[in-house]
Amino acid sequence: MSSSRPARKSSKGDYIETDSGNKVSRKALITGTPNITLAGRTVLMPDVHLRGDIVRVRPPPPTTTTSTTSLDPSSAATAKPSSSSSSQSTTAISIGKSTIIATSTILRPPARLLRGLLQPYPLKIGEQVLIGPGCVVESAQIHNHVHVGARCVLGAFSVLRENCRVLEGSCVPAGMVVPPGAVVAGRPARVVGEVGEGFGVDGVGEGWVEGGELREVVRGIR
Amino acid sequence: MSDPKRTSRSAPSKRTSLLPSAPKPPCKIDPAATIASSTVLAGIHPITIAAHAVLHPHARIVSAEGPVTIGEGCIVFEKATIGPLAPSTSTESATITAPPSTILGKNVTISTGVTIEGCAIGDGCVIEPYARIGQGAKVGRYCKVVAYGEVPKGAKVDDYTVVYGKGKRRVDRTMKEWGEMRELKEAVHERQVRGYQGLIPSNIAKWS
Amino acid sequence: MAQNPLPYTYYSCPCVNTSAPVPILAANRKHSREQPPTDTTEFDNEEQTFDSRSPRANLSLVPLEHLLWCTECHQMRCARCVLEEVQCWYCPACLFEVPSSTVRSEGNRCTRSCYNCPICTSPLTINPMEDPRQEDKPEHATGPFIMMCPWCNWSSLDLGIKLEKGTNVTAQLAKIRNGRKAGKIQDAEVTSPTQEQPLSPLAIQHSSIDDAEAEATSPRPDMLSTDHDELFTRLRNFYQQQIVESSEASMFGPSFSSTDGFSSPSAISRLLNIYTGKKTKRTKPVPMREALSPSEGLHIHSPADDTDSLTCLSTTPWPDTTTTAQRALQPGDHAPPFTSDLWPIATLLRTKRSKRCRACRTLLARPEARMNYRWRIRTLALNHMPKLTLLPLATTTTSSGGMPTLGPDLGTPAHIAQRASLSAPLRTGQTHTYLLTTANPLEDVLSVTLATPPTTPGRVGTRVTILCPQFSVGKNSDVWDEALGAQPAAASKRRSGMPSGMPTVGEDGAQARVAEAGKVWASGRNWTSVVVEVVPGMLPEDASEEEADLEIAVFVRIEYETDAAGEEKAVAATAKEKREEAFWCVLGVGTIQSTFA
Repeated sequence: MSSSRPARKSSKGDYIETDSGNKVSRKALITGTPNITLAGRTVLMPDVHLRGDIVRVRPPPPTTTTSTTSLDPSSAATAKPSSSSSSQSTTAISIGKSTIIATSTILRPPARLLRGLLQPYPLKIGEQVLIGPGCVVESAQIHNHVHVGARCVLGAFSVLRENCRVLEGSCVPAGMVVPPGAVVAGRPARVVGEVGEGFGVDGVGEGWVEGGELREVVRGIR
Repeated sequence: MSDPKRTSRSAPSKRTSLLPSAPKPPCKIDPAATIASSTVLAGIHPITIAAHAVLHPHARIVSAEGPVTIGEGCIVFEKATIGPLAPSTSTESATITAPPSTILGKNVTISTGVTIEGCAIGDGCVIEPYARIGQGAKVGRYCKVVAYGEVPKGAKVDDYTVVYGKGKRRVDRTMKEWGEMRELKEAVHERQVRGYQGLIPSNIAKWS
Repeated sequence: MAQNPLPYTYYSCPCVNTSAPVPILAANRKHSREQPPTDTTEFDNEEQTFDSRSPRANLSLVPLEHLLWCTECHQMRCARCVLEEVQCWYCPACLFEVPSSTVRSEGNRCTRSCYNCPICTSPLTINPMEDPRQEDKPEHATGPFIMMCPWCNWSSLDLGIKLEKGTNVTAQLAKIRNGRKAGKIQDAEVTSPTQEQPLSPLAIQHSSIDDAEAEATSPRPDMLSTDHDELFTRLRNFYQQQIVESSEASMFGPSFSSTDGFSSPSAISRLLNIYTGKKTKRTKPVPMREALSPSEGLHIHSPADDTDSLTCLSTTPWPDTTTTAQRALQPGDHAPPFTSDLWPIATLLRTKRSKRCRACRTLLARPEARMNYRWRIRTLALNHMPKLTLLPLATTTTSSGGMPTLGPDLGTPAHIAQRASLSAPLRTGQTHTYLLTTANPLEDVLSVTLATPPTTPGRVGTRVTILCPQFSVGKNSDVWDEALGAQPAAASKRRSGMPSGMPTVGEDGAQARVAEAGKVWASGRNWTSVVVEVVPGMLPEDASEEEADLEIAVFVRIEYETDAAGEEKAVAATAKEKREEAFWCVLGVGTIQSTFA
């Protein structure tokens, strides 16, 4: 989780709220929690899978005596948890402020072969991002103010630039870069238009505008 | 329920099974396979998992309707369901048909949320997220089914075919005609398997 | 623009009534017989109800975030009423900005390495063909590269193409393509018929010595390539020569060009010759003729060229032939009949455009020059116009006192139920109550008048009643101003203290309140809700899907007093200017289900 020790604010309710305002559902399925960074006021809804275990394992510092290689499954189980507190900690998934990951979505860091080894890369999600229910996210990076619809599949190493919009059910092929302000749809996804000039702008101070600030929505999730 | 105070990522997370009252099926699991702790193996028919198969957390192998065989080097991602969940509605009356068996060949990649129901998948196939392969289908070798693709019940997909849209299929000539590409793919797959085996702690004892 | 999910609000741009997409200003409205709705001062004068189904309306209905506001004309501007100027060109895949000079010379496609799959149009990736098992590899891959499609698994190996480098693919592909063309030309040379006479049966023998010399020195016809570009060049040269020859005699000779005018040297010399009486050799102007031989660009298609393609076509299975769409996307005139010949498609460049009002040419929106989504100038309609939202009364929580809004669909059971109830079909004859919320972005109190035809136009006459057609909406003042009680807000019945937006999921509390005519349902700092009752009409048996979709047209008129727009004027003299605006908007409600269905 976030680097500060999470304190339980309310034991009732479906969400655990950390002191930085992150709301993590009790039914969220998270592996590899030390490798996941939540910036603050983010929401992880029920049945969200976060694969923090798919992370690039740095070779241990030379002072440790136990020889642990990253490829040996048995020793990984006994590896010291020092990676979480030392500077060697690697981030698998980092989620920006006021971002909502809706139900049943899967966030998995993309991985590719580098020098013969499977190397995962961090999955970075920006601020004010809304990822709809039932998505599969394997992007390399999602920038700020992106709205991803329901049941989308974002292929490995795809990049969603800021203020773009992925319509419901679309499948972004691996490696695709979605330009800022674009609307993509289809299987495979193509740029079908551009967001309006007023995308994400809230003229009247109401709760939620598509692409807009998510703070109020986050506040309302219990 | 994941405990946020635990910082060690090696400790398995205690989670109730998704199929709460599922019986433990008769399993034959090769010790070189990797099964994550939160993978679910359920059903009554035998489940066979070959060496170097990798089952990611929350994958589901369901042998309620028929046996399931997972070949060498298969990678099954989260929330995939291998094996039919419901009995097939057969229009034939009262004939006792053999239980539908699900067979995954060698080096098959089954992505997130895929549903494979009682069919045979050939070697080297790649099935992308949320695809559905219906009962009785036969998918050939080195095929690909794109995300949300569908192979209907009983359909046959020839070797080296790509199902890339609704009703759209094409022959993957790269794979078909270039042996070196097939070799490259196998090499890539083998390294992926190795990488995941290093990242996912295996818990075979739970099921054997 | 994607269709917004229910419920939606579209605004009708004032350009709906004009054929040319220029909203005519009041001063220029001499010839227009139609009265635009924005000009009425009394509602009773409103002559036509807005028919959201008319073909004209289809072009002018725009969701609020796509509308801009012209501060000079005090009107909204839709995409039709806006002049676009290209700010910069960029490739959507590599996000590389291309200067407009390069676009003019190299075309509007990416000239680096961005290509799309010819089968499925997905962006292609460029991968090295190297064994991943090598652990001690040099930093940059050196093996041959291929382009691969991550969606349909097409690769450049289908064309037999391997690239040497992973960058600057365009140059490598061009070399390969030219190399293949050269190979084809050599094949064509072997098969083209050897003829020494002109191929055309319409050939006219020339007696001119010049022509005979030309024939003798021109290369033999069978040695000339039948390449498209070369044919074009030869044909063009031939026609230029013809133009010269056929108009030699005129005073404004072939050297006459619009830039020279009368001062071109040949024209001057000819004029002088006329005046000095010199006899110039007058050749009879030869009429223009067509090309007669391959050296002049003639290429007669012989049926023998096609036999190969035809035999291939008859034996190729249907999936291996290209579709029209696939051929249309191919570069140049490459229209292969077989999918094995499909060439990768260079990515089309996109533009960032600045937008100006068509009528008064003020800048409405101007993006920043760099590759981001920031704006230097942006005047949005949603900052100047009230925002109307229609929500079913049952799904809104009024107990919390906040503005009823629809949050995003987050996939929880409550959200799914809410979305299902929103898209549930409406039953004929049953009264459905909705809450129409008007939210005010301006810093002045709005006095709003709503009007809607009592029954919707068309065959399905749905009865619509707005219970309180006239009300005020508070101003969008700062929270602190209100808290300090500096300015009194709208004179509405109730005011909530918290301006924040409220959740609207589920929570069907005690709706014991009954909607009263003439009374506002709820209001807040800068919003007011009124109740709208909808009784869907009877669907005729052959009703189309479009007719079953229920859309309510609402005419909105707002009046407010604002400080006169005077940045130059002194702040002290604030002359209150009374302003009035009116527009139609269309609220999408749902689908009517016939009770017999």
